[in-house]
Amino acid sequence: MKFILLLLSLTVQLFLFAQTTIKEVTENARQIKAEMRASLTDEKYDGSKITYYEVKDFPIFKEFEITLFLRGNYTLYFSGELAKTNVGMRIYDKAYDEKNRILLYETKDISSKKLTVSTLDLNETLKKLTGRSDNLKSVFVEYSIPKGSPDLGGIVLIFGY
Amino acid sequence: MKYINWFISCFILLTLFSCSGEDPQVADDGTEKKTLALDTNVVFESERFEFILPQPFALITSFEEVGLTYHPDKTNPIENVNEYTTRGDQLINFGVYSADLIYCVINEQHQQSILYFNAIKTLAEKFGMGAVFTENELAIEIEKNIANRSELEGLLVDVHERSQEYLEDNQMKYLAAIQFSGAWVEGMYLASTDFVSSKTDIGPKLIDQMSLLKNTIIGLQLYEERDVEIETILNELKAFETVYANLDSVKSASVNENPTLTKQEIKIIADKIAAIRNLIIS
Repeated sequence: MKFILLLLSLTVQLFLFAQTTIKEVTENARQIKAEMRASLTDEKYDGSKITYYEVKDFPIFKEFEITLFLRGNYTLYFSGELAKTNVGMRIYDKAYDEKNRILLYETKDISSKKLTVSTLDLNETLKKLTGRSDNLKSVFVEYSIPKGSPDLGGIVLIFGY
Repeated sequence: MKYINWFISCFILLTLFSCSGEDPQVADDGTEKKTLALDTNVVFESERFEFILPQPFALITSFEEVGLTYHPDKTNPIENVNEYTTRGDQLINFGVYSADLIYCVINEQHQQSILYFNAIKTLAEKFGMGAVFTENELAIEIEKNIANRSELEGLLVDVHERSQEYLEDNQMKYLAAIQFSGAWVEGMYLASTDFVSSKTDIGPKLIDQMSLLKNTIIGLQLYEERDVEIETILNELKAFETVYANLDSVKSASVNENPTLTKQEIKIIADKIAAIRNLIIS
């Protein structure tokens, strides 16, 4: 009977531990976002995106789209403080399933780092690579998460203008 | 021994579940995931709606530079707020009223701004998001700063952020897309019907905004509980997408070139968006 109770208690504790960890990642990410927002001095805050991920035994990538045309020029502030693995970040002009997409920005490892990317620079890169004169209407940010032992992580992005 | 085996099985199953299952707050928030295995054995694991929804403030103020004249009769009447009884209607009109609120704010219609803010609060309470406004006295702060555009903009960004977090925490992230579609249609309506009195050519702004239609449609499609009204709006938006794609100037523009809309084409867009907007608010 003692053995059964021990197993039951262990099971419940393990389950609660997993839930707490997830809650912690969410809370920490939101805290980082709030700090990043508070640190904007010369710019207005216009939005954010927290990307959560689960490290698996195979590499994964995640992508999302940001609309740029509404504000003219944005500065994108990334924080990889909650990313413990070698998470790569790339910015493209088109989605992953579209042909001939152009790589506008790349960093091999954003983990534990802070990065700033201006959409002015992304527009310049696009012009240099393609000769196009129009500005980007949106960009696609892609995170690549390498395989590893089970873990949770997150990358925080805020944008100012 | 039988019990021990049973508990060991349960333990293993629960352990596996807690380690490999998608966390409700992290990933399983109601949206279906798009998973695509590539040749490189890397797996694409984004959700189907991974699009950062623009703030209503940014949506509406983007039209300011082309001269958005204020017409009090163009916004959705406040008294309609009690007509929205289904969740779909409440969500989509939350977006409509959000756009109307910004429209009033940028045109310094302070009294109207308060009324539209109250309409938003009423709808939020109806679909269970009233807490967003009561926490940290956000509503009081907004009412206090209703005439201060700069302060108000920051506070409305807070409303947007808290709404998003609330929906994420309650596995309802996809509902934000419904609100967005209402705000997008209302913004397009307020701007496109104003094109005759517009100080400058509104065409380029409409073209920019049309790039949001694809995501608006995807967002509505993901709302699986949509009723007949929302289904009709979705179908009308799809038809609108086709009408737009078949405009002569759009068809003749090259891939990396923006079309130049004629007055007649702008009128077609304005009429179509007005019809969709009427479906939403009625």
